[in-house]
Amino acid sequence: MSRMLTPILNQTSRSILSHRLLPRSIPPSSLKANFSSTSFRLLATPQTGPQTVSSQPTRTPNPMESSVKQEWPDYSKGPSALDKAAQLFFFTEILRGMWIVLEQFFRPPYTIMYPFEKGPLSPRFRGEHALRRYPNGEERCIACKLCEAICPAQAITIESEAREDGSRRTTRYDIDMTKCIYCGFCQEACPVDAIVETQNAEYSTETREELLYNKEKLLSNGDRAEAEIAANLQADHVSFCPA
Amino acid sequence: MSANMSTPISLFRRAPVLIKRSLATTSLPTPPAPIPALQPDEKSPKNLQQSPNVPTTWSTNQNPKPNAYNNARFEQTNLDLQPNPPSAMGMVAQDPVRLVEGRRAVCDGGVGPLGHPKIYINLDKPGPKVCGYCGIRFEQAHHHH
Repeated sequence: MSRMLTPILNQTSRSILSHRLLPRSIPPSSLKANFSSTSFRLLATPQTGPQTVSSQPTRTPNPMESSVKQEWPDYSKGPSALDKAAQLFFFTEILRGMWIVLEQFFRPPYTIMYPFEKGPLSPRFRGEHALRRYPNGEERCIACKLCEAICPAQAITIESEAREDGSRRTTRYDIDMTKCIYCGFCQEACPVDAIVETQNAEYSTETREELLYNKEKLLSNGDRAEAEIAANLQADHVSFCPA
Repeated sequence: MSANMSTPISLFRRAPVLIKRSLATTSLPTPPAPIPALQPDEKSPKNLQQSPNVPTTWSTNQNPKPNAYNNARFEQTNLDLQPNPPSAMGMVAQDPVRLVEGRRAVCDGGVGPLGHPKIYINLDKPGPKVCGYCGIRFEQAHHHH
């Protein structure tokens, strides 16, 4: 606009307009030489814009001030944005949602009758603890106490003594199941896979004392679930000892 | 309690008691010491034998069950319902001795990942030698030609 108006303005108004309409980034020396008799006060103005005035029409970020004709899509004569949003989202969404509901109607339910039928469990599931035996009946635990050392909750207590036949085994293996956080570090630390966490998670008790497990309880847990434990270890041993 | 804490005089009066209580050492409840005279045998009731296959104790400091259960803690405990797994010592004693050709036995306890670290056992001296992990006894097979 300023370029089109300048020829018909007189000299004084031209010098007044030059303060407001010309780009501020033009160096003050050229301005002084061409238009103005007074100096520009641009002492602290950062020089970030164009440094020279080109012969092209000036582009400003505001499209209303630009002298260049730009093509903008004209939405004023089409359907309103509300109509299009309603058609696009509401109608098809409703139909698609109703179709999903209709599909579910003909499918079997996901619900399982929990106490009688149970969902699948990972072989790495960490539930109630158990002490295992070798096939000849010997206890696997050799009282190395690595599980007791690594237990972050300090739930394991072990005492050991030589047996009458000379074997070194535990005389006491207690797990406080009220302290246990089921991190599985004990079965990871065990060098002989003696202490394991079985897949049983249903051992709620009426009293607190029943959750203080001793060696007899842990061994009978292992005797009951030995086939399941061995199958889980066999299924998972590739991940833990790749050799 | 709140009435006591509200008056500073009673708080000062209680302070020595509180300090003495916090510094006092508590005595841990200890189980009764093992009494070898109460050793169970085959004629003892089933739930007072140490295990279904070995009726007596198998370690020095093992408490005989008739002594260990003679306690207020087990007053209402039904001993028939307590877990009672068989003794490993009794089961290992019934395991036959493996006769091995040569001076050295190899034991890894089972099939691959389900066993224990592999160990080699010297069989030079006479008599069965026990695997320290799984309790299997090995002996050198002597051929008399």
